[in-house]
Amino acid sequence: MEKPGIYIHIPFCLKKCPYCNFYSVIADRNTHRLFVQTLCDEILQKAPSYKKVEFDTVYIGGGTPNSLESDAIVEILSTLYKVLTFSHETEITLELNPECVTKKDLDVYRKRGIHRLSLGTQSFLDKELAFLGRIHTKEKNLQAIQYIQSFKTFSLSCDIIMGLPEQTKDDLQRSLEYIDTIHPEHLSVYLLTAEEGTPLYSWFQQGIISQPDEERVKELWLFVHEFLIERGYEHYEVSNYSLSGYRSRHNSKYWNNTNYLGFGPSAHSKWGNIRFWNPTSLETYLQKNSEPEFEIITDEQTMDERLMLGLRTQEGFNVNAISKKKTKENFLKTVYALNHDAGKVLLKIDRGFLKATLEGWTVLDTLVEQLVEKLIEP
Amino acid sequence: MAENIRNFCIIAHIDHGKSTLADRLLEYTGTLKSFQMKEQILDDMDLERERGITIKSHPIQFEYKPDSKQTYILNLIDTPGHVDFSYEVSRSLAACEGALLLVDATQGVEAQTVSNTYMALENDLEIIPVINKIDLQGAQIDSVKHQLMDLTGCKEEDILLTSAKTGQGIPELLQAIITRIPPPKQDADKPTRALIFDSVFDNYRGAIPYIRIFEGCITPGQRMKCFTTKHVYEVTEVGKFHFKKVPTKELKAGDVGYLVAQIKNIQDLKVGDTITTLENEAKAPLKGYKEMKPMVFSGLYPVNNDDYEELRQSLEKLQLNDASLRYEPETSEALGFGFRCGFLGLLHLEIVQERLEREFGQNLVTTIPNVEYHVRDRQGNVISVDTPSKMPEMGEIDVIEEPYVKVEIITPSEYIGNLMTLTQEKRAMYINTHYLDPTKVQLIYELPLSEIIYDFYDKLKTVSRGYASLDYGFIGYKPAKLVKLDILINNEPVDALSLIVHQDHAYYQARRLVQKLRSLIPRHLFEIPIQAAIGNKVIARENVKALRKNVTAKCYGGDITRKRKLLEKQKEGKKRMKQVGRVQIPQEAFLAILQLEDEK
Repeated sequence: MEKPGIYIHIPFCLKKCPYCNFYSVIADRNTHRLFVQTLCDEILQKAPSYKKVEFDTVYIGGGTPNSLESDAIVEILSTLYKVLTFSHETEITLELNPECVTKKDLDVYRKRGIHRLSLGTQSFLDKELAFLGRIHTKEKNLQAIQYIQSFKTFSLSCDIIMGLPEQTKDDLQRSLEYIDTIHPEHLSVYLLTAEEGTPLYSWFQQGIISQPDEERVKELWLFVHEFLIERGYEHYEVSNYSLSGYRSRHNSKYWNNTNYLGFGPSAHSKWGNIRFWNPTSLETYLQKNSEPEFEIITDEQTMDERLMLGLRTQEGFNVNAISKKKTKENFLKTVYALNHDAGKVLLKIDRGFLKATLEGWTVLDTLVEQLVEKLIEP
Repeated sequence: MAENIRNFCIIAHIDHGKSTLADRLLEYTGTLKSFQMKEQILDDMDLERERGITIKSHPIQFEYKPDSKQTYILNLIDTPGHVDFSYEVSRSLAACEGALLLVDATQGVEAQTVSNTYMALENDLEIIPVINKIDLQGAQIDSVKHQLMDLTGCKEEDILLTSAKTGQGIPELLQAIITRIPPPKQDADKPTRALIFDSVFDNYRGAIPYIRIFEGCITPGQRMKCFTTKHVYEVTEVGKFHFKKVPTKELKAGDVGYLVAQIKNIQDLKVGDTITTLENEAKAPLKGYKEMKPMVFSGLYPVNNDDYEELRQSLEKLQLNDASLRYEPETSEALGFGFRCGFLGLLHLEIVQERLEREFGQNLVTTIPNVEYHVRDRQGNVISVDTPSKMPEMGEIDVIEEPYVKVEIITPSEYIGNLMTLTQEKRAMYINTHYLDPTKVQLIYELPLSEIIYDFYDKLKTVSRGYASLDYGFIGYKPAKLVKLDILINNEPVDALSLIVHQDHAYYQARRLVQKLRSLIPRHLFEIPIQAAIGNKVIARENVKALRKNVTAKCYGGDITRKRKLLEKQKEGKKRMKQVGRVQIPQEAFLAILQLEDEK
């Protein structure tokens, strides 16, 4: 069994971006301090139940974690290390936004053992960054990366958002050429998604911005894949690429059903067949008196999740997890029917694992929707 | 004492305040205290309350004491309020001696006011015209009076004014009921004849007829017989309608009541039929019995084929309460095993469908409703076609005849132009115009029934801003140039989507239908052609494009529960889809034709 991970949610940003549905607010220093205090209290309060467990990842995400003082990050990590047990190979990741990366802070991170930095670059075109409502520029990206890479100790992951309404192949290629030069160890390439409740969603709904053409976005997505594969990256999850040995161990826990604990507002935890999460409200969180919400994941739901998440990864979904022979046969029949209907190979079976092909990944939600009902007896 | 009995009903256009007036009569006579009253006490089915219409007849008996010496027994028979049930209305009227003709002071005479008045006159009822809602601001009492005098030939002083809401005019109305409506004839000594005007099913006591005794009497222990079915049952109980059914020693000429005879099948109790007893057997039935025939047909299929048996049982149970529902097994290549059902009209169809879904938990696909066609082939054989799939090949058909109805529309005169355009689109033949007063007009047309069952009523309301009202009745069959339009999805004909349309409308209908279907059928992993064809000739085509991209970008800890729940919801949604070949078709697509909107 793999070791569990820790997620810390820092719910602060300097500005809200119109496409983002992660929980964050804009707040002052005092609130930051109060938050760190509350977060540490939460860790101290919950830790005793997990004393005998060894964790091997910490992921500090947000929000914009580096909108906090670097001392605060240190305090959070120290608190974790004080009350929980960590493997000596623990992966510690910190998310950063380029607008507020400083050499001084980086040095503090390095000294505290943070060795993986995930930088929200998003694009290397100023017009795209402006469309995305980001407050940083291409120059800020390059500067932050230069700082980070000057330390030699950090492994770097960059976020790229693609599939913007007016994005051309040329636009995308220009960003990718920067990536080629920087050659980060890890890349997350996200399709711009209009999540319900975000301003972007209502802009699309109201027709203020026209939806990007599906066909073109798909071509761009395949183009990114080609580009990065040629440069030695492996496409190990729908939206994630890495050089050999640099996959995100923490994020992989989400996809292969490993346990994790989350701290901070809106943070989710999964422990065995229970998933629980904190309130998505800083105010409520700071009051400390709200019980986390939880759900018991049934066996059927576990199977649904394994399929939904497993197919996102290069490893795929273990078909032998379907225990009933007849159900498995019926499931496999559906797999081949889907390929047949589409007139191309979307899914393949490889040594007992069902994997989505590159084409399959482009329509993964539909495939999962079709397959999920075949996990139970007909 | 038949002398003190008054049997009457209230006839009115929908929403003119019939049920409220009935409530007020009960309250005024002290039949029930106002705190006992739920609004519209007589409509007791959930559906009736929600829709604000009466579907079943609700008789009730109450006493009225105008002074200390006299007591009158009043039998009020509340009648169904929709054109689908007009035969039942006519039988309820036949059970009475008088009718309160209720007209909303703000609305005036409407289509059903007219048709109900004619029905009451045919049954020789004493009509008491009543103008209701006189307390409302927009009450136009004078002009409504003139409309009523024109319609019924009454004098101005014969018209009563009431407000069922405030109770104004109720004492005068009760007085008019006992003085103007004649008591029933005293024919208790003649051979027994009782009219069935409705029936209900009781799980313990079987089918129970609601009856009006015209001659003779019925007591428990006697053997009853219906004229049409000839079945004989022993009567175990007779009684009257107070709030509940209350047993009595006997029912005799003039009485309105019920009887219990352990009748297993409600089909044995046909509305309009006559009951007699073997002890005092009549030779001939009462006049006016008609077999009720379904006018509108539709296929009902379980979404999941395994639920066929359950649907059959549900229909069987529903039919116990609804003698006018017809069904027989039917097989569709696209939908599998189901039932072809016959209904009195579109409202009846909707009610049955809703009751099956709500009360019986059925998950249904309903196919496009159609009328029954008479088709004569080249050999001279005539067949009845109640589903498009039974329509013979066009080459074999000599003549197709379709049912026609006579339609009466009452409208403010400013909408005549709009209504003429609408009726022309619907292949109407103009018959007559009659001015009720200078601003209100009655238009009479003959229309194919098939044109009415889709969206005629909604359109009529739209083009008249809600002011026009409609009534119609079947008049007979007429030949028409009709063709069968087939729909092919992914190159396979889907029989359940076929429909019969007029030749001149075929292209237009076909184009709109395939467009609608394109918007209803979800995108698949492959392109889906949708075609409409007459015979082998494709006359309209649309494509549902293949899905190119559908993938969730991010899926981390906080997203998993949400995504899984979405997946569970989709799983649930797919239960409401019908798999036809490789294509999943949502239930509502089978009724797409009903949702066609004019893009004009």
